[in-house]
Amino acid sequence: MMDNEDIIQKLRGLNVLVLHPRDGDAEELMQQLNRIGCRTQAVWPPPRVATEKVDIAFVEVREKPSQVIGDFLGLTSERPTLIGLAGYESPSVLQNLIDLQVDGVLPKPVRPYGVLSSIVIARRVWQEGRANQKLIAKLKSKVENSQKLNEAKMVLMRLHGIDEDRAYRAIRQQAMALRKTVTEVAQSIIESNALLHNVVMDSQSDGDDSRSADSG
Amino acid sequence: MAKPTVDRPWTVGVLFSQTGVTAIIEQSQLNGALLAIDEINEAGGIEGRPIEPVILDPRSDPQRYRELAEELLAGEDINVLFGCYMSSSRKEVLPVVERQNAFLFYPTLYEGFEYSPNVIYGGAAPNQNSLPLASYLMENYGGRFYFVGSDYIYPRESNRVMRNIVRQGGGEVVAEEYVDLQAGPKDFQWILEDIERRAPDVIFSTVVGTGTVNFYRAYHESGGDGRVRPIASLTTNEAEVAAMGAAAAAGHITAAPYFRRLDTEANASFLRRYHARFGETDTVTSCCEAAYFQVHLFANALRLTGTTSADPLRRVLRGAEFEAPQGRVKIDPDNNHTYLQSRIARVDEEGEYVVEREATRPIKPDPYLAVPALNDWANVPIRKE
Repeated sequence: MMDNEDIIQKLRGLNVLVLHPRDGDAEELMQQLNRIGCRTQAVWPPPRVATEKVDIAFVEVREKPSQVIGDFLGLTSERPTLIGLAGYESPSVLQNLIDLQVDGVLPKPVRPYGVLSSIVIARRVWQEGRANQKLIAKLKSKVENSQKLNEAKMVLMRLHGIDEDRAYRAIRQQAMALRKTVTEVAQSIIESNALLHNVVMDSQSDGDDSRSADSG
Repeated sequence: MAKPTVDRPWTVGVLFSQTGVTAIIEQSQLNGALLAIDEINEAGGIEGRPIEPVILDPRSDPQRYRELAEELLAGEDINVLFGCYMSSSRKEVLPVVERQNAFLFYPTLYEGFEYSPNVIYGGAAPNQNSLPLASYLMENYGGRFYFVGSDYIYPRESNRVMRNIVRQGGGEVVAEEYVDLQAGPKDFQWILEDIERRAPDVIFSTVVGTGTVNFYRAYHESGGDGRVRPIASLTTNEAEVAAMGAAAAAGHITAAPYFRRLDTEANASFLRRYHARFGETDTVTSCCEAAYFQVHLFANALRLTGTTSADPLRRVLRGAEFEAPQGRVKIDPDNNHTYLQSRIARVDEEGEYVVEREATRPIKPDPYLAVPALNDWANVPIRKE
């Protein structure tokens, strides 16, 4: 609810880029974007260097993938909200809409009515996608961290014969003493353990090798 | 659309309800349009041909507006319509007008967020009336607002805009209630009790049509006093005040581009002609004035184009100006809405609107203003009475 309100309230501050050949549709779209009050710029052909921050890009989508639009999108550090401008609903155009991963579509011929809805819906889809990505990244690192901590605790418990609670407190104390995160300390413990283990294993296998060499 | 022959009149369609809930205000708009048509014809018409209105009554029923618009535009002669009051009726007519590439002149304030190349919007957008009204009310009465509206799109959108402004100004909306469009006096009883309980500083009403008269009267009868706790509105007008009576109307506030008692030469002669034509001036309202100047804007455009086809008309209408009774108005070429005066008036003991505050020059329409800031209006100089 709060996010939806936000989308409408922030419409006027958005930087909108129109990547479409200069024709009646581009003209109609530009006029409506100006009425809505977005900061709007039309560029064709697409720029070859990264432009200043773009929040929404309207891009022409045709029956064959556009190299220049693909190249331009490759330049942007953060992917803008993409709205496809499509004149056909043929399978090849539809496939390009899918491949470009547009957040919304505005059909051509462009009419003033519908531009605002397409922006709002595309923005919601884009925000949701971005929020989901952030959430997934956060959850992923949480799971990894908790795996590391468990492994480190196991090492300490085995090595020192202590219980889980004490192992955890030991890691946390180290983290505070070294001004590191619990995960970083856990990582160090796991790595040290692996190193010790490998040294012992390697030296054993070295001995084996020397013996076999001797016997040869 | 069709090539007119020299001996035939210019026929235009007129769709204002003469019956139903919005009949009072739409009759007022009809009068404004007819007065302008008379003036143009008395002055010799356009290229020697008079303008002839075909007037149909949609009976305050949105569906009927669509049917009648289709009927009017089906013939060869008519390509221009004047009409609609409620947004719901405009929304019905819009696709018909666009499909035929015809023209609709819409002389009514509304909630904004629309642009059609086939419509000229002659009434105020929220930045021209809601904003100044909100700041006036907060300065003079306080920040606790009670919203009452008829249940359709205009009141809900209008309240959304108002709520944003009130919150920005540090005020609060203590309640937001809706009644049926057909609401009678009894339907407001529980709202009046609720108002008494919550004791707001001001009531913002988006009740339209006959509901307005019923609401103000019921408020008055329940002991409500506009001089102490006013009902503020963007739609309540002279014709409705005449219908409810001066006692019920005293103290209440309306924001509009035009009020009947404006002291200008253009208005004085407008009222003289209106009185000569209709025998009274009780029904002169801001929407009536908008219908009046829109017909004149159309006629001036027609003089230049010599055709009622939409494309040439649009070209000359954009940027067109007219010395209206409210002052100079101009069609904004960016969005087909109109630069309008902005005024706030209070009803006095005799039932007459007295202007309390006005902008010193016309305000540019901004129909897509989603989040109006209180100070958006502040850059226009204000004259306080």
